[in-house]
Amino acid sequence: MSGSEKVLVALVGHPNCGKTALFNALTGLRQKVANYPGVTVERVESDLASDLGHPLRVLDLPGAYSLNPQSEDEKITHDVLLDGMGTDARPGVLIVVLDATNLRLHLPIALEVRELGYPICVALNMIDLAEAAGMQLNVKYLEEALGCRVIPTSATRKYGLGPLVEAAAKLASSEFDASKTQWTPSTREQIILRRKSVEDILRRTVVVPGHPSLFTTRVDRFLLHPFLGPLALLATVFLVFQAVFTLGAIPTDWIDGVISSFASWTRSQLSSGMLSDLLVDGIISGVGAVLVFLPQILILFASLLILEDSGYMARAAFLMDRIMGRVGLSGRSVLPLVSGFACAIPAIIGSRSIQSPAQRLATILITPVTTCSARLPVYTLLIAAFIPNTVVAGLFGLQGFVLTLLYILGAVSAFVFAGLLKAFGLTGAGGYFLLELPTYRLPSMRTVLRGLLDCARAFIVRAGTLILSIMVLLWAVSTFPRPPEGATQPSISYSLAGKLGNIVLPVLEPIGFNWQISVAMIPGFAAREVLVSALGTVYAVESENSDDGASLTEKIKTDWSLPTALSLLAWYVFAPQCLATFAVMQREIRSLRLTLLSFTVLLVVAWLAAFITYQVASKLL
Amino acid sequence: MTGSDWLIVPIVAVAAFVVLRKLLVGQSKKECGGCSSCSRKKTTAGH
Repeated sequence: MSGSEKVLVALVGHPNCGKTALFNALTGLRQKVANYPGVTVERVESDLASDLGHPLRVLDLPGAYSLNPQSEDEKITHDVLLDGMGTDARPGVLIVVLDATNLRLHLPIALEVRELGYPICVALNMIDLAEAAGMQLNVKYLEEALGCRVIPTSATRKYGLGPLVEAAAKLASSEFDASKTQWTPSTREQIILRRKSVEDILRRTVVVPGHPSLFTTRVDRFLLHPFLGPLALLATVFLVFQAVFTLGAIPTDWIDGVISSFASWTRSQLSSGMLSDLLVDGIISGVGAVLVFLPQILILFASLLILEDSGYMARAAFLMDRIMGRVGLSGRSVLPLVSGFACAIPAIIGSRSIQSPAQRLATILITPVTTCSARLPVYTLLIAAFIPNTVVAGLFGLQGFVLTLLYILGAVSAFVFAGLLKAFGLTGAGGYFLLELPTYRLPSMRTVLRGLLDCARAFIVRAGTLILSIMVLLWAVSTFPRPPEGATQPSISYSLAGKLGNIVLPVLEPIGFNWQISVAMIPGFAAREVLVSALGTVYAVESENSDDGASLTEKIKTDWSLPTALSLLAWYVFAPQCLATFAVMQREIRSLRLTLLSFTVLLVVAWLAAFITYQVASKLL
Repeated sequence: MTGSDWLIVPIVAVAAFVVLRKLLVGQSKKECGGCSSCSRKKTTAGH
């Protein structure tokens, strides 16, 4: 049976009720899950896992508080249920996912969806947490009240999946014509009536209400405190970046040693010539230069995943709401912006969960300034080369402190840009912010490890495909044309890259960049971390003796001045060096004018920041 | 260029193909979040 013949079973429910966790459990896929609302902003579908024994396809939809869409992601759910988003692929069965610990909030969507006429069943999810909180639910009565099967489930523990699939499969065999589905926005009277029904249902369903999580209440008293809360947030950020340096140093040195040994071994195995130069100077030096930063990137991702899964990220959004309001944003923008620490692309897509179009636009436009993980190799390389590894006040490392400052500078810049957008009338005033604060929980080891595995795989695949290919091309343009007979300068000076570097140099010289940086900067526009690889290749080709044992860190330490390094750091806080980010920005805001404007403004600001940094540092240092 | 040095020609050609493909085709479906509703048949507008 082909995928198109299988009945589509859609998961519908509030944000953060565990739809994606259930989807992953049913399909065996690994879509991103986290303990805060608004993680899923796209529709994703896949076949039901074969061991569950039914030929069904499962569709995960973004969370929605009602069928009347208030944001782009809720609109997806609305469109899929009401017109299949213009395709034939409308669901044949709906599984309404409810958070068993918070039925008062979640039941209204079940009643609203029921009115559409779809065959439905209910997954009473997080039943394990409800039981742990001492709740007792009368599932039989809930079934009677909703007029459909209600199956207690725990997606994370894979509990109740068999009965849920059986119920969905049974519904799938019934006759249903989705094209006859009708929907009109609920009137005030309908909403009030639904609320009354919810209260009636709750009275007989919740036998014992259970007790709220005392742990969450107590911890929130401290973490959401108006004064202590922001301090705890700052301390958390600081600890993460200290960990990036202190914990990352040992495996980074180890990988660096392995790559150097591999380069020497490769050169010793090949007769000297162009193939040897390409493999060692182009590929191993270039790709190796960025691969050594894998441990640091994994530590950053692990920290983000733990904070997301514990429920703290939603608190960070809550804490930032008041500050964000001053620049026309709200705490809602914080969640996608924080995910921008990993990568700007999912952050831009994630902004679909923001209800206000003006706030969404502002969030997208400032996202490229948030410090994505691709900047980490550049920052780490420069900090390791130029900032002494000393302990300040006997408490923290100076290198980690400088890294934290760079991240804070990125966040402050994003805040200033948002303020400017508001001042120029491009975005509106900050709106209200409602956020369901999830209960704290111990981060799931499986979620964190899977996230890390995906991150490591994506990083290595990227290094082994795109970055490797760019390095091969960079080596070629750094090697050809060959120097003339009797040439006195290094051969790279006569190459195409050398000439290109000299053409760009007049623009970059006032900000302290040498021609090696100028050459590496050109491919660096494909992606930020490519600069590090490109520097590895350019210095290897230039030295024409890359097995001298000197690492890239040592080479730039002897070749660059401190003002040049600081200038490059300032450049990288703002520079729009990721074309994919702007491609996604254009797709999401559908305005080429604004996308180009954003790119140009960031480029000019990057140059000015680097210029001021270089000139001031040259005078002072 | 002699002997094995000629091997750099196909290596550079493949690298150029990979980079050009990335530039022309743009983001892969996997990188855009794996949304199956567009399947490259229509734009991703609206979802």
